[in-house]
Amino acid sequence: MKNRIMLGVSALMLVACAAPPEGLGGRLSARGGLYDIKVVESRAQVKGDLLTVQTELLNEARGDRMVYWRYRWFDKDGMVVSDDGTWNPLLVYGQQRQYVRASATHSKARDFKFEISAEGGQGPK
Amino acid sequence: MLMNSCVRLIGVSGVAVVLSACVSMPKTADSSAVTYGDTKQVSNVSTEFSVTDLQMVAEKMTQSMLETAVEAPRGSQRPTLTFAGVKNKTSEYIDTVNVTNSIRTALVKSGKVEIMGGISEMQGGVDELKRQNDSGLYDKKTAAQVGKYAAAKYRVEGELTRMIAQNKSVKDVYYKFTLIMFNTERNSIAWMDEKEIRKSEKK
Repeated sequence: MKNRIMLGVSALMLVACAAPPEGLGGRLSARGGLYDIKVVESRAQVKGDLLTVQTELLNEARGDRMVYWRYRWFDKDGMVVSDDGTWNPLLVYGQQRQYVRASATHSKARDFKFEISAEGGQGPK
Repeated sequence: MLMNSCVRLIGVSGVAVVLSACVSMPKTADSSAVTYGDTKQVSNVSTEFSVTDLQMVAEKMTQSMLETAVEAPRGSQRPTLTFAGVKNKTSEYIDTVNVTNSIRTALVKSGKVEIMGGISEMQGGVDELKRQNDSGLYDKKTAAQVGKYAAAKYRVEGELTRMIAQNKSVKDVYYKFTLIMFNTERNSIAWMDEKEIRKSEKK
């Protein structure tokens, strides 16, 4: 009986982790579940030929979460403009909003995709 | 006769299918000890300056420089930069040329700036000019002319520092990479930015 309960709880947790995140529509690419990290919105502007994007993240949990994020840049035809960007580690405290920002380094970039991956909960601090 | 042809065709096709299934990756030796990895994968092997740190620093510095420092008015010439090197002020062995090369590569690809050869690269250029002009082997019309080097309007240099705090259970390491762009003529700071990295290790 205990084993069946544990199995059921594990299955529920797996389903929760696999739930797709909200926000950004087709411009968001999340690797796996985001463990209470919400990608709220992205804003973009073109300044001096270069596309700059800012994305707001919200940690809805009480505990801290470590996320890894990067942007991919595309030209107006949807072709990738540059090599894969670096994964940037970021610690988002419990209930905190964080803003991440990056600029394309090529003037051809006119669209982007925000990629994010999150580590499991680190517990409240 | 037709039957024999069909049997032969099926036999040949079958052999081809089996052979194609056996042909896997184009590698010379089957070594399960070595695999290729992702160069962008986050490295958290130790608190030392890592591949990820180098990539983060290079990316941030390049983006900052392009956003704020090198916005030349339309129609004007691209700003000219030379890199004077980054001092490693830590006790770790870190090849800072790797960092500046990544920055220079991204800047060149952007097309927004013109990177001039640095002091360490001058000798190669001088040797090539001598070879073309003094050896007597080259057509003067096609040889690069001496005295035509373009001077850099800006000089970029930087430094990498580190602070360590540790006790019995935790080691906390903080890196700060600072990059400065000087106006060569005025010796004023035209742009400056820094990237901070903090890593902790439980012992």
